Amino acid sequence: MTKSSDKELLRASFKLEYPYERSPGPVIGKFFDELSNEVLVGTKNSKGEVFVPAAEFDPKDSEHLSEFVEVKNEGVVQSYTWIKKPRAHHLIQESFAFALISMEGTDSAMLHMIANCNENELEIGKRVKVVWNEEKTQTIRDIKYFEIIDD
Amino acid sequence: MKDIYILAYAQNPIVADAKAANEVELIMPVVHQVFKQTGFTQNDIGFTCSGSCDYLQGAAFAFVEGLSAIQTNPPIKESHVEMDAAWALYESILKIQMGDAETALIYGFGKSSPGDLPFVSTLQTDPYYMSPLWPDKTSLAALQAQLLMNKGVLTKKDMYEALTQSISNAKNNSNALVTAMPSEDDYLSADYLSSPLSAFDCAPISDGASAMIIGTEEAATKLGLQKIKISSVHHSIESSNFGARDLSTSESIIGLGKKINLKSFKPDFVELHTQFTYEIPFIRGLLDLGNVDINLSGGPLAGNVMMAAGLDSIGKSFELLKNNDFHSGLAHASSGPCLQQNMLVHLEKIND
Repeated sequence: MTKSSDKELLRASFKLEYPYERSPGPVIGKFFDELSNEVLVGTKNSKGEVFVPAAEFDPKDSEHLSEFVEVKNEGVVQSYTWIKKPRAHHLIQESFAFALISMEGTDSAMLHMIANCNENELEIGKRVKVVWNEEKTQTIRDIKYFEIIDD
Repeated sequence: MKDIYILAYAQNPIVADAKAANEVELIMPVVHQVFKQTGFTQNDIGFTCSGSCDYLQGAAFAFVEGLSAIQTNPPIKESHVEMDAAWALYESILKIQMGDAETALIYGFGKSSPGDLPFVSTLQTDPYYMSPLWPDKTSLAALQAQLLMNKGVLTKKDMYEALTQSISNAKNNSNALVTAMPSEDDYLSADYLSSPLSAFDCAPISDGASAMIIGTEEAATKLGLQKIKISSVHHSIESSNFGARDLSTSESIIGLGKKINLKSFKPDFVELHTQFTYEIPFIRGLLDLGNVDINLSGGPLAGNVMMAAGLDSIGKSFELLKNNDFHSGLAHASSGPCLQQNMLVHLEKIND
């Protein structure tokens, strides 16, 4: 079998993206609408557990969720990873953290970023608050990042 | 239930960059090897199933091109999973169980080198709440590693030991990509990509392909080769709601250990589809594996072909049973961030 030789290697530029739009539906759509008003909402199941970001169904028993509750813009770090040197695609190009954050009074966590701090200030259990993006796009990016709440 | 046997398995040498070689050129050699091992041609195959990821090629339905590696005229019964080829094996097992086929050809392939794999993987995450934030694969794994270290489940030393054991075992696999052993100083002083994971903690970017043929007892008997039976196979997935999962444990893996009844047999070895060092001590603890040898083939830390590495852990288990005085092996395949989806396969050597 004749293999392609390296001289024949063709190159083309490529943008890593979803080349289509998605409609968020009634639950995620409502969550994004409220984010653009700088309000955080979650969905509540029949046991009273609250999911933020708003979940369409209970991840444990698949209960359909439609009751919304407003929550505070503050939460607790459940885990984090510090990125000293951000890489291509990362939205923040200075050292920052990805984190799982449980918003106050909720029973799940939200993946987002923490910025404006040093690595040694971050720990699991640290309290953080939302910093809003000025320009709203009705996406998860309406939260710009989280920052540590000074005690 | 029918007894199903692995009849043949082949793996391409894993390379960091296959350069101009396209997917078809990666697949053809392994398909030819499994045909050679069995004496089969495509006409002897009842069902063909492949595993690959269109995001790696950057085009919808890119997997269809892979079919050029096999004979599809006259028309064949064929399927594809947008998953690791371990799940192509699972679909093939179901086809045989349903009586639709007596034999199946499975292949998995991936050429990760042209893109930026940790970010290509981002596109497989939740498109509303996760991927717009561009969490790369390494960072998501790091969130779990950090949590496990914080809870005292494992340490950097455990991760280093998992790495050195894997690299040391890689000498058993002539197809392995990584054989250079880092010193403990190099390991501990390496900059973190995403804390607490450095490049040493991540499986290497790899290009390659693997293939397998399975069949019924009748097909296995006809071949007269050493019989390696798929005694049990189970898979399960955790929620796509990433923030609702408890990353300090794995419901999926613990549940599979029970389903496969791991208490009822003691595997001679375990092959884990672990793409980060921390996953080895983590799964060892979750499945209560004691001091059993893990990844005698070197595992994904020595070479990790996306969409074939899970099938490789099953294929390497097959080879270990065939070529050694082992009787029972446990193989694992995984998919999704932080071991979201898992499969356990119990393989046994059957002496007539």
